[in-house]
Amino acid sequence: MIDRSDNTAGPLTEEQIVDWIDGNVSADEASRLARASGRPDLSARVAQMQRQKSVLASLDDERAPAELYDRVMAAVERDVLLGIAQSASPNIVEPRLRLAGETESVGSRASRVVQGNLPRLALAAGLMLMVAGLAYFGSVAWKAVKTPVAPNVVDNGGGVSSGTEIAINDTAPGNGERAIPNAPGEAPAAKSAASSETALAAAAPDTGLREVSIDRAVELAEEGRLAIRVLATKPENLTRIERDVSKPRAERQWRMTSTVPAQIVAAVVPARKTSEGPVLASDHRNVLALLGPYLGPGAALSMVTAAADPLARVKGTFLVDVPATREQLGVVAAVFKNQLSARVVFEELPSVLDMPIAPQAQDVLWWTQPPSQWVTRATVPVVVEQR
Amino acid sequence: MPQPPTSPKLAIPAPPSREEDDADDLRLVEAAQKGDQAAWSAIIRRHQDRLFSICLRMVRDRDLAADLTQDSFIKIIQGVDSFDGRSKLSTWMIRVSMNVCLSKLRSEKLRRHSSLDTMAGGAGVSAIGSGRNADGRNMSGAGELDSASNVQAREEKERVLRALGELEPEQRAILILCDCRGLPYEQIAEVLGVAVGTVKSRVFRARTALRDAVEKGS
Repeated sequence: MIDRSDNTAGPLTEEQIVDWIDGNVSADEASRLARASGRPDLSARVAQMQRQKSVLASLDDERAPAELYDRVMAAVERDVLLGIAQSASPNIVEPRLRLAGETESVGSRASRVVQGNLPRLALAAGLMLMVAGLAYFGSVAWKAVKTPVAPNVVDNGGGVSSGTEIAINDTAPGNGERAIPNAPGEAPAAKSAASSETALAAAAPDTGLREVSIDRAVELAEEGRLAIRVLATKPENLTRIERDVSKPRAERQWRMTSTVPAQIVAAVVPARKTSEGPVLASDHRNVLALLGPYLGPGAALSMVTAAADPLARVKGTFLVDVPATREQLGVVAAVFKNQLSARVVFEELPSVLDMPIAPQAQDVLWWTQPPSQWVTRATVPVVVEQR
Repeated sequence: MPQPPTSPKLAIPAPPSREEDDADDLRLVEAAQKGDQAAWSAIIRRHQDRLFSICLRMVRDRDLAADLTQDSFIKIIQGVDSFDGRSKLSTWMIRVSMNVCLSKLRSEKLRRHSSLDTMAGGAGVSAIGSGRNADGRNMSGAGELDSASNVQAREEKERVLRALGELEPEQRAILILCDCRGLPYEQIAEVLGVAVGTVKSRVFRARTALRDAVEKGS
């Protein structure tokens, strides 16, 4: 029989039990709550929860890895350099609230007016987008009809599976196949790269750089005019590559750094198509910045290009120091291809870039090796993009 | 009995209060919003252990926790212009970090894998629960727990941590905020963007789930 004679506070609530566990109720109140619950074991259960709470409370902070600060700053620097910071995900950004006493600016008032009329503006913008989009795609389609398209040469080499091929666009006429010897210690990757020669690629990304064959890539690497573009399906695995490459391995003949000078990034990263880049909806400080690209005759084109901003696809840039040989370029390509489920494209840079990378002992002491092992090393920028 | 006078030179300064910490945070974030790189350095160093601990308790893998902490700081830096000082910087940072962890756990369903790892004797509980770093160094004054008289307490700690790892990510999150970090309910409500009453209700259910998980495990 439950004694409810002193249960003046009504039925037991979750909040009361939480207060009890937190120790915020008196002993009398606790016994009243125990009686009110009708559960003779409630006190024992609460005591158990209190013990578990004290166990959790006794845990102190773990020390963050020593290199965390450097990693954060390096990543931020890279993102800022690439402009990725401008396209930060708005879902982690709290709406900007006006501080008490802060006067509301004209821009803020205008922003509120815009916000109040957003449905109508959205409707108008939608109509404009539809009309302009039809006109734009119509003109593109008209151009496509008039422009002859060069056929892509595709040779699957009788058994190259899609899981192992690397797409390399071979535009050099009469460039025949030849066997690639496997480098010791890296045979599987080199083999994969060799088989990739047979898979010839589709359209080049929107960088203005020319896609080349692996043989031409070797020549360009020696000249300092080669770039590698990685169109990754799984760019999240990039950190794994960075981690793997940072571990010393005797058989690996190439190395990689994420420290890339700005002029090299500028040369290999696709140009932003809009002049101001994507504007976040959370950025209400500049109404014109928010709406400017979407008003007027160029509205449809602005919206299309902002949505497909090529810079937002860039996930990282690196410099790879590698022997300028077909085998080793293939190895590098295969690593990116396999780890990131990527299409790897060799591209020709229009001019020679100054590629600073710290020399290592083996670079300086090449003359101590037999002449048969002398090989030109090249520094090649690598751009990883979301496919 | 009269006490000997204490030399002012030997007096140990009191540690900074929470209010002083918050004021320092605000000063630092204002400087960071103006582009002061050194302010970022100070902010990161002040909060990295706290955020790393949260991430570690959420995912129970040191490497992944380090990655998530890094992601959190990047998002914090990218979104600092939106921080208006109404909430504490630490609250806002925890909110970002918790969102990063929950997104990761939801997307990869890591919870199940990490539970299996732990059951198989992985580094999960041993590295996290014992208050030691991966290199075995004491981090949290847990050395006294090594004495034989406290074996039982250590075992209970491991049981609770293992059970914590088996909870739903959202329940784990609220217990980490409430019981591990000791945040007041109002602050947890800010972090999670829900009402205080809702927080209490969720805390109750999470504690109940933890108790059940501990019982199942033992």
